[in-house]
Amino acid sequence: MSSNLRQPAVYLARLHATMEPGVLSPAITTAMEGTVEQLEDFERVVQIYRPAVFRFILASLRDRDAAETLTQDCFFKAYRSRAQFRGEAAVKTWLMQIAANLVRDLTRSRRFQFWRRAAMNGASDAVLLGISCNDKSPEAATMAREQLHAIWQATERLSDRQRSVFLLRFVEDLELLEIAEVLGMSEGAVKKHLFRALHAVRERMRRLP
Amino acid sequence: MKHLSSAEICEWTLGERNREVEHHLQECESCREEIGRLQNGLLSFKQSVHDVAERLNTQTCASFETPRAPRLSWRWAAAGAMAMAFALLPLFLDIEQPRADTEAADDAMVLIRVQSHLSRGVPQTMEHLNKLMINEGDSQ
Repeated sequence: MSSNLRQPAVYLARLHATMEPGVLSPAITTAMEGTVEQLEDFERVVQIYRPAVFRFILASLRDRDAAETLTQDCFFKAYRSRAQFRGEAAVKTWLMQIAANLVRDLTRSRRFQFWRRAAMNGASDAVLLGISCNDKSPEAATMAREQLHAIWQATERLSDRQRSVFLLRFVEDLELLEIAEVLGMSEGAVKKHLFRALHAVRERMRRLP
Repeated sequence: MKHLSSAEICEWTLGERNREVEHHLQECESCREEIGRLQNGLLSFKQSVHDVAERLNTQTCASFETPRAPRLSWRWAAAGAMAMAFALLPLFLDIEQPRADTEAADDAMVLIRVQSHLSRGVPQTMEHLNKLMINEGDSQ
């Protein structure tokens, strides 16, 4: 994974190429034996759910390159394990589960450098804060920007679990039970994490003038 | 009046309904504003993430689209061929002009020869004999 992340564009291109029906490598063709004829359906799955998966990973990592790479990883893993998917959960829940695991693995392996990088990377903040304020007055835009900045700062300080719960609830609009399925925890635990996360966000917002 | 605690505000925002809290919110504008502010902040946050992700996702997808060769319709092809023919017409005429001049010169030469042939008094093979006869007549 770490070597892949060094060249995300190359890795992404390679993965993208392997997802084309006509250019499957022999190894992947063997792995996907029996489901190759359903590849068009899988491409539809990618089309539908890619934005949500990318959004969740981007918000979790605040690193575009890593988000793109992990999104492709997510669909690649889903593609390979498609035969094991029995439809017990919704496709989105299943994909989010894979994405959450990838995010967790990455943040565990690069935890310190990641947070240092995220804290120092003002550019990503500027991008994240500058979009939805375009149609407001300067004062309102400034207030909205400060509010968003406060929420981002609060999410930075959350634990991995709390952040994932918070993003899945307030960005992806998942229900508590769906979040519990995605993160492999009880509904009560989700409530507890969500409450703590929201409390931290509110406290950070209260410091604003 | 005792305002809502942070825990009560968070629980209300998370969807947990309580009759006491509901009753308080009907009377307390300050707490209503507090909850509204939190909800607006969360909505802005969601919108911000959606906007950014959509923009970046679109850029990524666009960068992987294979550029297709532009498809030329038959009408445009015909129009292009016509334009090309008109453009090359002067060049074609310039090439044809010297050839026409040469043919005209050749025709003129033929006409001159025919004219001289028709204007002879005797056939060409008897011209020498005719000249001798004229010379002998002059000498006598």
